[in-house]
Amino acid sequence: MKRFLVTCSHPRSEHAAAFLSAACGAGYKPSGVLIVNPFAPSQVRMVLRRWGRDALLERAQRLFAGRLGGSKKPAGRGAGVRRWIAEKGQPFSANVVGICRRHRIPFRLVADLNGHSALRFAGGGFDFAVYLGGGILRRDFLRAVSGPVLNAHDGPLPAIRGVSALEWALFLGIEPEITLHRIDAGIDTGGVYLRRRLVREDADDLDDLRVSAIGTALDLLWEGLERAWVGDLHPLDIAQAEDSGLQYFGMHAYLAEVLTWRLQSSLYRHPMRAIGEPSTSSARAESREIDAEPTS
Amino acid sequence: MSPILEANLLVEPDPQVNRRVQSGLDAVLSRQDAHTGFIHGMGFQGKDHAPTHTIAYTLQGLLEAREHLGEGGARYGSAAERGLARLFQIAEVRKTLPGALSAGWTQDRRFACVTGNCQVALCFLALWQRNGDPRYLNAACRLPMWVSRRQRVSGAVAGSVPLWGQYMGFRWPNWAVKYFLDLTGELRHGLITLAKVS
Repeated sequence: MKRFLVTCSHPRSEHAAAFLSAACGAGYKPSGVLIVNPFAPSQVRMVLRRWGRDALLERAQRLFAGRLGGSKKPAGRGAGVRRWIAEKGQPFSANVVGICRRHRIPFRLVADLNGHSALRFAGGGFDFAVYLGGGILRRDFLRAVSGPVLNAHDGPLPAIRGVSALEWALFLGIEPEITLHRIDAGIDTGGVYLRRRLVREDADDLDDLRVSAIGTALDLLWEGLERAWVGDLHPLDIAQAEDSGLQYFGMHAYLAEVLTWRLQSSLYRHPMRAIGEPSTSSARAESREIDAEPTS
Repeated sequence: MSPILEANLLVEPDPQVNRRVQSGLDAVLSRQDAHTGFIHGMGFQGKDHAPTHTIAYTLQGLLEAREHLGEGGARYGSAAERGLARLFQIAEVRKTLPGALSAGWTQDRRFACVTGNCQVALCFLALWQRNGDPRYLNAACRLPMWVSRRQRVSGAVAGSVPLWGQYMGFRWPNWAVKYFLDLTGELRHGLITLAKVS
């Protein structure tokens, strides 16, 4: 039996809660959960400094609405989590603390995953960790966990590192995929364990793709957990040198608008189809167009 | 020096003018830190503690020199790109640029230079137009949002934020608005082109 740690970005993280429920239901009970408290003084200071007062108020509003998040999340992700947990046959609850209490999993609310309290907890002899949010992990945290820290990245590595990787992959015309990798001191520069092309068959817009992305990311984390549990998780032969990829940052709303326009246009679909699998949704769309043609 | 090159191209090009401008630009490059890419003396009176405004002037001049000199100006463009790559990271992580930077790109965050933010964003746009890297376009989209939130109802844009900052303190320079308008116009043009191409 392995001891593993789970991190999550806040007490109502939907995907972390779903993963924990599914893991406990399948007998992979975590030995510890680290939850970042979004209203710890240092978190409040960070939000105020980076995004201003409005972002803090938005956080508070979402907490009271029961949908707290670190950033403004698209609606699609929540739907993807619900679909995934339904497939696992578990009831959905976004209450991470409640799940920990119900399954008697030791947990700790911390201000920062790299702080003293979190480091002491992470140094509790875990074989590996599953990262489900909580901010950038520093060297001290990675040293404290004796095994690998697994993360699902929503873009192809090493080509696209950083934030909004799904959106950037689509923007650049690269086939989107989810990558399970080991977190190291760089940004998405650790060894890649698993990769899976995103299923785009039923995706008509960006929100649909996000639903598909979160489900695939949870699937990969699940497979990583199962393999790490039996000691059968090995890195793929993918060069992850520092200069083999570029780091991207959050996509600005203007570019996201251009991307949405591209996704909706027929011009966009053709090159993507040529790169990936034959798209049944495009075929369906084309057949609908043919059906709509007036017959003489 | 870049306008001299441009003027020289408009009239009968004099090779001696190009040579002299290049020797001046080489003197600028000789001050570049090989490790960090920071160019010493970018500030007023050749100081290292440089407001974002004069840093942007230096980098813009180097970028434009490359355009005018062609193959012979590649090294100036590379020097500017090193600096802009560093500023791009700061802009994306902090969502705005600091008021001044000094050796090793040490940030002075006590104030922000509004003009400098617009000028650097214009350099990001120029770089995107040249190398097609959308990350620079993304950063160029981000900076004017910050500036527009600080524009007065009259349209004026302050020299510094807060108003008592080191660059044009308690003043609303006309060139701050000029660069802001240049940026929004260029950005609009760039995004429309991008949408049309795609």
